[in-house]
Amino acid sequence: MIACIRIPYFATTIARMAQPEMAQKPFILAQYKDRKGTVYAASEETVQAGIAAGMSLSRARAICPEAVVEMASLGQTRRALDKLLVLLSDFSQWVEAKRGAQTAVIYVDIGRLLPQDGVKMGYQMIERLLADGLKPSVGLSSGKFTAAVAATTTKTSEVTLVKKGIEAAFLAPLSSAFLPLDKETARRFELLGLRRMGQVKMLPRAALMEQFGKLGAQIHRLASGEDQRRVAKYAAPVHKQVSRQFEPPLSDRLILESVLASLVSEISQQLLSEGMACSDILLNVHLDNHSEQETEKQLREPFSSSAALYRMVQPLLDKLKITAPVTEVSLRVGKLAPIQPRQLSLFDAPQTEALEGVLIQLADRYGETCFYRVETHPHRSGLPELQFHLTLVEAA
Amino acid sequence: MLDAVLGVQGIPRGQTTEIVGRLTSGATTLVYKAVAAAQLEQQNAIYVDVESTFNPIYAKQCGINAQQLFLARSETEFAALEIARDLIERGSVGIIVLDMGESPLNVHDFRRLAGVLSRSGCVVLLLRLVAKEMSAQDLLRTSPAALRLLVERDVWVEQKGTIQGYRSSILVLGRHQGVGKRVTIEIKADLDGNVI
Repeated sequence: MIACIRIPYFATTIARMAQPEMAQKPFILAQYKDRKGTVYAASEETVQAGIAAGMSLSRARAICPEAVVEMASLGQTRRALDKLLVLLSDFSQWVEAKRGAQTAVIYVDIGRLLPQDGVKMGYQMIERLLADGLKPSVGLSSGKFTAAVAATTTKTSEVTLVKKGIEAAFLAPLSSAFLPLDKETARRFELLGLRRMGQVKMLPRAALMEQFGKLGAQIHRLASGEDQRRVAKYAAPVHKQVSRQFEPPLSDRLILESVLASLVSEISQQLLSEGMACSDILLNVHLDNHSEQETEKQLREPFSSSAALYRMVQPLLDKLKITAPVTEVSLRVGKLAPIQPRQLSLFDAPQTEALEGVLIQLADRYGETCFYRVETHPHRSGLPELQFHLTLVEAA
Repeated sequence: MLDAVLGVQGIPRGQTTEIVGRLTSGATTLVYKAVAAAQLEQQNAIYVDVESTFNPIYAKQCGINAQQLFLARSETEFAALEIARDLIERGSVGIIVLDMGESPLNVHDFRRLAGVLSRSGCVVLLLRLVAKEMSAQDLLRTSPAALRLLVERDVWVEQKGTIQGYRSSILVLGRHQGVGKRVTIEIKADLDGNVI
């Protein structure tokens, strides 16, 4: 039996949890691509006003001028979905998410359960998600498609069970818009008068195949309640995390930076000892006013060295809006992969020792304060002159 | 592109190459990039800084390995040339940058350097920052170098209202192939602050 958990307005709900002041306002999450703003996700009020995901931002503003527009944080939505997957993996190891901005859809294969046990489990899932501030609906069926349709047609916080053998009867009166039709196929369905899934099922599969190719056969199978697709096995993302708590809360930025440097060093040692490198960094800060700030960065290539990681982490700290003393800081690295071996250089390193010898001789002639070695300390913040140091090449 | 125009696959050895430009024209960046390229070819580098304007942080962002770079600070232009001459004679350095800042040049002092330099495989880059726009004729008249690169900033490169870098043109002047040609380069910083 497959349970489909449907959480409408997922991205906006998550964004509202992070910004409680947005709770009562019409809310749009926007994203920009090639300087063109589009609606990534919209809250319930704005959807009712006529705004849909993918709509241009200017049009959305015209439809609902009072809506508050915020930049969408794709990382925040993804992390929230990952948390849900971890939570639902308590029910089954077969958990799979269909990523969507407006609505999150998660399939859980709960195995061969009696119908009443399945419904009971469905309500347990709802209870867990309601505790997280989400409003899910659950559909139960033998196939993914029927379960998804059942979840869509169910009220919030309710479970609908479609028993084995009656899938086709359940789907028959429902709109054919539930089927995965492309634009052209949908237009042809409209012209052919195929408005209900029951009408599609009544047609011979061969006729649909002749008209629409493989898609026709797939549509016929789904409309008949036949769906053999399996739910993928859930693999928890591997990550490492280190954190520090502060009592009393910390308000000195320099100390925070030095703590961050020690966290980076700690996590780097862990990575190096296992021969791993990370491609994803998440910095999370808990503030004294009970709010939480986090920011994430995807690295272009995996890193494990402390210096390279700190170079990546420091700009993340600048991004956070720290408005109150810090009670906890945590650093998480993810997307771990083995360190790629590097080929050793076939050539000698430059003969800096020879040059240094020459400079020591010349220092006698030009003065002891003439020649320097340069050391940089990019980890240090503050004045630029604190970020490097000149060491005298000592005269003989 | 600049390498292709110069026709010798880079900045010529055994000669002085002068790079002239106003502040924020890209002249300093070009010099730092040349030093970084030399270091990648395992060449020793020394930066002779007359006006104490060398910026190690920016140099690092341009790709210079600070651990393998020596800095010489001289008080006068003459002392800087003497240091360069001594280093070239001892043959232990691959590239020398003479950062003269806005100091005036004495062409006669460079003649002593040219003799030693022509017998070596060393690259000498003379970096000069000028306060006013300089014409090609002025540069040819005042420059002691065999090859001159006049760097001028054309436009700031903006993206979404933020300045991401700038585009500069380099005018090649000297006895080399590609004389009089202009090359356009774009100098930008990536997300990590590295200059590209």
